[in-house]
Amino acid sequence: MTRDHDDISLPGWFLPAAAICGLMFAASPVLIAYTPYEAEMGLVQKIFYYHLPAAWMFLLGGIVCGVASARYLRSRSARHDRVAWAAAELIVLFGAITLVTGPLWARKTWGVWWTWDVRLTSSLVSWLIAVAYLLVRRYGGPGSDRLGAGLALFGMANVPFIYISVNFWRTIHPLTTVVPTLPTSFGIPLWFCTFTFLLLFVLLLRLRVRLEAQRARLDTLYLSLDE
Amino acid sequence: MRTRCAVLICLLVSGAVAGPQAQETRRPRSEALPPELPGPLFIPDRTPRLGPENFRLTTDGRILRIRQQLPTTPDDEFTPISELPPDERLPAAPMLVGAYAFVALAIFAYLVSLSRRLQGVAREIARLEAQIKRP
Repeated sequence: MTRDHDDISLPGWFLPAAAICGLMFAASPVLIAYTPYEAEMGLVQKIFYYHLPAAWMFLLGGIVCGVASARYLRSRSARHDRVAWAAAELIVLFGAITLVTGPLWARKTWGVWWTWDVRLTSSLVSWLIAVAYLLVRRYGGPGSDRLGAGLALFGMANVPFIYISVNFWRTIHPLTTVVPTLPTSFGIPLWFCTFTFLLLFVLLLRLRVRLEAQRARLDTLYLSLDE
Repeated sequence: MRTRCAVLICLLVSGAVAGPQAQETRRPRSEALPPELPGPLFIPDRTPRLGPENFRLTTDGRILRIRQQLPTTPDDEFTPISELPPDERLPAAPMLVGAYAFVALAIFAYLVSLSRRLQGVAREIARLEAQIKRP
């Protein structure tokens, strides 16, 4: 009950962090506008500064959901289940951002909206697993928590595959070596946007966990009313 | 027939031999002077080279030269995007604006959805708590 109460009340850092995140989001387009154009892709390359951080949050969501589900399967703690559910929603959100901004960039750079490339396909599969998780949790009835946890583990196993796939298969997607070799002028806006997205991820996760804690409290109230 | 084939072979061989020769840089005027390099106003030779792809042997044994459609504008000339056919125009700005707008809309929509769900549950909790407290 104490943990439920902890989840319902927002921590003291939440509002300042939300304000900082809002300011960072407002400043990021200005910073990106002053970033030099990439030689071959030009203006459209600036999609990268939101696409890549969103993709990283998408993968982070997969890891958080998988780890929380594994801990839930071991301990049956409702708190872990809430974190897993919240992270699954964020996988869908950040995955949608990645899967929409990527094709907009690809249409100009590669000449196609979509190609069944290993990175793109595995990302789509991971996103569909998260959608399946949410559908199972919403409509699965009793036992859907364990079934969902199994799906989340499967989704987490896909995360390293998504990341390293470009290094092992022939692909037109940029490799993982792009980021370590970025010039400073490209690196500063990228890391700024990454921290902004990371802060947003943490804030949204905390809010979504709070919603689940409130729902649990509501269930307790309904039960006490019936008695 | 044999004569025409021999002429075709001669043409092909002469084209293959003339090609590399034509691409060579000009010889220096004397051994002491360096070779003349193309300057900033260098205009590349755009004379079409004749190769096997320029000739066709017809069924009745005649050799026909295929006329090539030369490009109307040189390759190294800038072309305004407005002169391209509409289906080839693909400016980057709408893609960029579309991507950033989608990110903003997706995050905003999720925040609104989350806020509504939180408010709905909080309202329901308040109602039930009031109902329980009532004697």
